[in-house]
Amino acid sequence: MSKSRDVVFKKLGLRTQPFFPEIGPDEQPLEEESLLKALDPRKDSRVINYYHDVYDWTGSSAVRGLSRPTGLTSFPRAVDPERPLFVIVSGTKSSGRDSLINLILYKIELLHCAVPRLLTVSDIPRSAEPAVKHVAEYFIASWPPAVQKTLGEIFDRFTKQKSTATDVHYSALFYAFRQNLKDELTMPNVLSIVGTDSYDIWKSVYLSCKKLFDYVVVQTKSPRAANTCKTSMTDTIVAHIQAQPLSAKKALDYVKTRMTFEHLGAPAVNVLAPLTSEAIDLLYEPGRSAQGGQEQPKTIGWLRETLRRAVDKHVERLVRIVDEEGPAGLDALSPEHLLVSRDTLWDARQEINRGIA
Amino acid sequence: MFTIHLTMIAGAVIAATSITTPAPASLPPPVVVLAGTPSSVEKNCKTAICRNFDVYSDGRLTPVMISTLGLGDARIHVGSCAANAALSAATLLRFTANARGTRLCVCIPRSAFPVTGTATGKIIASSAPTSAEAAVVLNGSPPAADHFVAALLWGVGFAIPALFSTYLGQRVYIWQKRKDDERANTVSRREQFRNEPEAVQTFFNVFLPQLAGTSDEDFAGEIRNQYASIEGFLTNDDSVAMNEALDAKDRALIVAILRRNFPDRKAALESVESKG
Repeated sequence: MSKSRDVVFKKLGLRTQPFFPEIGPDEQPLEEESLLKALDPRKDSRVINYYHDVYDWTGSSAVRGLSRPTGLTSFPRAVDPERPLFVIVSGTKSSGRDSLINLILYKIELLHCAVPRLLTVSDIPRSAEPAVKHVAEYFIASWPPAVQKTLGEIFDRFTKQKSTATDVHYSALFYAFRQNLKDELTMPNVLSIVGTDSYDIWKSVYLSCKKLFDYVVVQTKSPRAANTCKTSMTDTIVAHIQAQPLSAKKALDYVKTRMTFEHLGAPAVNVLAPLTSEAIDLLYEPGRSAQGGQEQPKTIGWLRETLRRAVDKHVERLVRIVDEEGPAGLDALSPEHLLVSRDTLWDARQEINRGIA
Repeated sequence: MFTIHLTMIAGAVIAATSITTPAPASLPPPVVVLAGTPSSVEKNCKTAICRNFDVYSDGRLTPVMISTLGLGDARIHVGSCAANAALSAATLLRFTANARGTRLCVCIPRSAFPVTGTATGKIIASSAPTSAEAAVVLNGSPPAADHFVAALLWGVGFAIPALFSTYLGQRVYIWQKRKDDERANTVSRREQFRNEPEAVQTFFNVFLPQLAGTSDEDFAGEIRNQYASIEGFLTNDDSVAMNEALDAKDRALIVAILRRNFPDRKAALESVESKG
């Protein structure tokens, strides 16, 4: 952080940029990669402090609640090779969905004291039998060539005859994979399914591959498909967690939490400063395309990025004053001029909506 | 021969001390007390898990040897755990105990813990002819609180859905049976599916009702994602027509095609016929 920027943040009563912290709670620089897109505590465990509970946990009895020291208050350790934990995280892009998946992977790492082996499978065919084969092929491809050859032979042997079952396909193939890789698979084995919203495909893949993986994590934009999967898989524990967009009231809570966390010294009279509740309301003013004048909830990713830009613009303006007039220039400003203006916030919102990087 | 069982409570920790002495001579034998020893230790990701404890004598300077039993290659050193490098310490430690107490640190290697469940080891303070012991339970399931809650939630997570599904299954069965009975004399293309496959039941009973009130775009998008699970039950012509209807996001046409192919699903389709 430049000296002028440092002076500005001190004047605003903040340790760092609240919506893209440059330093962690221990005052040490944060790993930028751990904040850039989704939060990722695997890259820097201190980002656990920045999770905000935007999640509906009612569809999940096994996995529950954010927790600062341990990531999640409840998360069962996979111990039954016949029943891997099945977690579905639903939500739109930037809703906090991907951050939660990263947190789950981090929690698995903590529970097993080992970095999990993660296989992420996308572009899954729409029919169950080819979908299961697709997962097997991805799994084979994730190993070095020598192992691939052995696994390829196993694959050929077990798929020679096409599966005609309804839900479960080639389950013996995945059992054979596990047996063959007993020495290599000492860490938790995680399958991550992305890019398909079909509950039938998830179900088939889970039931077919369950002898190979310890955890199956699905990322989806369809909470309805997730609910259907959970309801239809009656003999399996399916945890469905839904990342939800925030109403204006919840956005205000989010901003308060962030500002309080990054505040320097004693609690501020105005905990939102340099933002205001009017500024948050402005973000929720219906745009031209809004229907019926109803408040449109916003994803936490959108809020964070918009507010980051607004605070950055505001700080840049104040930095210019410090550069030109010295720190005394800030002291000469009236308290209102230390607040993020309506125009600054509006510009940030427009920039995001126009896709300006 | 006599035995004294002494239980000391230091903070939250109990050290059970057993002292065995021969017949008394001119001076009674020295008494050594272990205090603050951990009653149980949780396994975690560290190579060794270290805990402080204290050793006291009854007022005399007493040579003591500290050793462990059932704690693997545990190391002991004088001083608190934070102040010393744990694994460079000894497996046996000799020092002189006094009445003020001496702070020691025991570091139990991760390998000493059972993979699951618990095992019990001991810290032993020997001062001939007496000795004191403290039991230490090694808990191999990390972390205990999480594990307990998790186990409980696994139970809840299994029992409630199972009961619910049994109830739902019964309701579906009764409803389905009544419908089947009504159609008993009707010859239809779908006669072979009188006991409808699970995919169709899930689609109409669980998935479709959630689409009530959605926009036309969401409706078509959601149906498209699940279409593969029911496509096989449509006629070839309707399969082509459905793809076109999905592309056009034509809600009325999508519903009409489904109604044509699943005539007994009238109620479920009516609920999603119009957007909210």
